[in-house]
Amino acid sequence: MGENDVPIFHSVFLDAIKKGGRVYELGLIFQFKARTREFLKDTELGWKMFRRGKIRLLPSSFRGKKEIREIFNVYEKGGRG
Amino acid sequence: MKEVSYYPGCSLHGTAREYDESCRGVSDLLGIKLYELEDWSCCGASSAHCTDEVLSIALAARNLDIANRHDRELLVPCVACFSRLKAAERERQGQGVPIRYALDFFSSEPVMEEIKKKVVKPLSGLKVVCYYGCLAVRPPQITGVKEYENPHHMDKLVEAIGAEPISWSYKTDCCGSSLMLARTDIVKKLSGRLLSMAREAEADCIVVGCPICQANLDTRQEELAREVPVIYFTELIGLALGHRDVKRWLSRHIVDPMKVLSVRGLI
Repeated sequence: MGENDVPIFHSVFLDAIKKGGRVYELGLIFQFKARTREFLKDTELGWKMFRRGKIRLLPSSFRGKKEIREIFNVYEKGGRG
Repeated sequence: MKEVSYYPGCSLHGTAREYDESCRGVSDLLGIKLYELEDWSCCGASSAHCTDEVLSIALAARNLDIANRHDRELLVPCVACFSRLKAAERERQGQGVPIRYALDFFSSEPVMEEIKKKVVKPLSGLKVVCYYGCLAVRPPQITGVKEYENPHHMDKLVEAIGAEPISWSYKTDCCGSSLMLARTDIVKKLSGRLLSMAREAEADCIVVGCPICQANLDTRQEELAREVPVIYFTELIGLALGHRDVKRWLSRHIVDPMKVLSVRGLI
């Protein structure tokens, strides 16, 4: 764990928005763990949250992905909207 | 019946579902009809804010465009979302429907009066500390909160439902916020201090109005000698108003709030 994990988190978070329009938390956690290689961290906590119904197994449906892609296209091309 | 648009945000569709459920439940009892914003998207949160100003405004503004299709105020329970939506609104010179943070909305005079009238079980004997965190009050030019260093609106709200707010000095200190996954060491330190101070103030529980603060405080208590439940203000309103689903909401917490509520004879 260190300073580098912060930009990794933000990058994974923005990727999640870009792909799904909304942040699907379980997907975000898996992606973050994959990037930081800390697979075992907080697994017990994750299990507790799952048992309490806090972890959604599927992302919620979202129909505006095209609009979100356009917003990211502008950002990635360095445009100003 | 009052009608408002509702922007739940990503957390309330996941780990903070009890906040979503209690917002909806309490609104229902108060005769407030919530219309979830159709096809809302993520506000961009801290990650967009830290990365690119234009991206962060564009992501939040998409939701304002949807909200502005209706002539209804926009109710936002997550304070991080609220802050980003307000930033986008500011960029547009305030044009559009009013954006209301749930705590401000439920503690506003007319809604609080309605809550008082409908209390069936005053939360007598329950000692709480109100934790506002950062974004519920700051920056004041975004939130409009005048007492941003020592706010009282949540204290007044819990008082209105019969609980006893304890004065403490940590109302607006940071819990670690979006560092929750990347720097758990910092979150443990910041949230740990808040939890210890809540204990020192002899609070039965901490009351919050933010899904990130709730998660940071609720999930980082393993090293504490005594745990402190962290309860959403909407859950407490639901309890005082006698909502039938309160136990289900509270069962989702990592630190069980039932014990302390049962000791006080409230559940």
